[in-house]
Amino acid sequence: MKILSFDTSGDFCSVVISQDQKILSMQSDKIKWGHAAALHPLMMSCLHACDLQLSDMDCFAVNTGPGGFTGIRVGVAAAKGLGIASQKPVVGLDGFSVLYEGVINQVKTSKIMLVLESRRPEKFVKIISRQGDVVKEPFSALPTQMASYIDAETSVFGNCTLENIKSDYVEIDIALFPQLAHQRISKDKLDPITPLYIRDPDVSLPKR
Amino acid sequence: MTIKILGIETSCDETAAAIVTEDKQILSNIVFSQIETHQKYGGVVPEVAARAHLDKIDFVIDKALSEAGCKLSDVSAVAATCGPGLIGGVIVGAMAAKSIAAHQDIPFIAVNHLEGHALTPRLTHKCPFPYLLLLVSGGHTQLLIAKNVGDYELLGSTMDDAIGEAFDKTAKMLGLPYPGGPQVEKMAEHGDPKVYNLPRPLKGRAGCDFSFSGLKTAVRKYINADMSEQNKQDLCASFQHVVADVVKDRCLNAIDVLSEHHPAAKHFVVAGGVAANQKIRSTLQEISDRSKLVFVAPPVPLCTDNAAMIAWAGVEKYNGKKFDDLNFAPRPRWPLNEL
Repeated sequence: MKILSFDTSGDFCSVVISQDQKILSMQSDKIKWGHAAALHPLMMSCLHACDLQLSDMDCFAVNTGPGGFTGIRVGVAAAKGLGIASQKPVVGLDGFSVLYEGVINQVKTSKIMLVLESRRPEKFVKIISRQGDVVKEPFSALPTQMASYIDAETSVFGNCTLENIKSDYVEIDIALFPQLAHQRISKDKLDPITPLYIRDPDVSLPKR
Repeated sequence: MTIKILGIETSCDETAAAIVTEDKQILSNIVFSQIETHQKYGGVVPEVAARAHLDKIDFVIDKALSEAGCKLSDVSAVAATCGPGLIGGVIVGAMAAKSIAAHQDIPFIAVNHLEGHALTPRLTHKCPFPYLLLLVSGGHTQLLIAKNVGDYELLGSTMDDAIGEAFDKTAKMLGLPYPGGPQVEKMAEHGDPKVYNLPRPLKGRAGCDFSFSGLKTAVRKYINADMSEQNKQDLCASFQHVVADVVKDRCLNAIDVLSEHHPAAKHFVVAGGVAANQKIRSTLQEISDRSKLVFVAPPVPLCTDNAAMIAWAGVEKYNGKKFDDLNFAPRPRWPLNEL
């Protein structure tokens, strides 16, 4: 099975093409802005590198967030377009799942706090057991607020630096997407891809 | 085979997709309006709009294809609004369009939303270049000479609020629901336009620019808690009458420029959401008749935001082989004279 996976949720624009979980080509550009311009050329360049076309893909996978709102929409909208055109399955992978997959082998504690960059003081947080069960559903919090959830049995990992919290820095690794997408697709029915924003839009109701 | 273009529009509060052919057949024209979503906020909230576009984008594209009875393999190119507009929404349509074009290995066409409006009369009428164009919507008020696809000469534009914005703000001040423009028009039907004395900004001055902020302030001064329904109707009628009067004055100046520089031009076109206003339409009809110009106003559903106009702009650009690269960056600001 050939899968094209991509991530535009943060400070990278990344694409990986895999076949039966073997990576055929992988490219990642560090960019803070401009994912909407960068993504498709990067896809085409990755495809070119392994002499394949978009129409050769059997599945697509995208990071559905959390992260930058615009970045998430760039990725999810592109994925939806690919789904319409190919009529092939599209897998949504949330950033926490990818982070978990990347760190699980080094975790000794029973709980893991995963923290993702939001480009704001409040970061996106999820707490998971070592076995992968949800301890606390995703929420948005300041580092000072996160501290109350951390005990001796909690390790903290994230793609951002956290003041006064002992944490290990980990990036979302695009190379993990193929195996995660493969797991999802071989499981049950796929849900339609939905963006994971966590934070509501900043809006106030008009005063009357 | 007839060229068919898929058009996608997501620049404000309508998620839309359409299929249009080179011989001017609108095979489908799907518009999913977010009005209900934004109503409680009294206006369009960009982040809320962007999320709603992403929710509905696949639905409208699938529906446009099925209603047109067509498969993606029948489509020759994908055209999407890539600006100007609320960038979060624009990005959603642009990315979906790029993906479809890249997968199908067909051209991607980045359409300027204003050019979509500007070219609509060529979809609905026989309207050769050059023509005078009044573009009036919630976000834009411009007088232009359309010389060719991609070639527009700006004669004047608003220095502050757009016409549609002035309508919406007037409605808001009067406590009318969003979107306010059509509400003001409805109220005006039962009002007397001579009751309130309102200023006519820039009337009698040279040039083709507009200004509506002073008019809006003058309207505000008349509003008070004790207003009867009749007072409100009279104020709406007075406001609409003055706007039409100012539009007439500025358009007559533009017609002078047109007849001096483009004596062969025969058409005066109105486009954009405010072109749905019947009072403004009849005013423009009147000055066109007086100036011996053919007045062209597309049907109302093609004046408000829609994707058929984007697909049609796609047809026009396709015919000129004006395709865009997949690295095209969507633009929040993109003036028509900078294409």
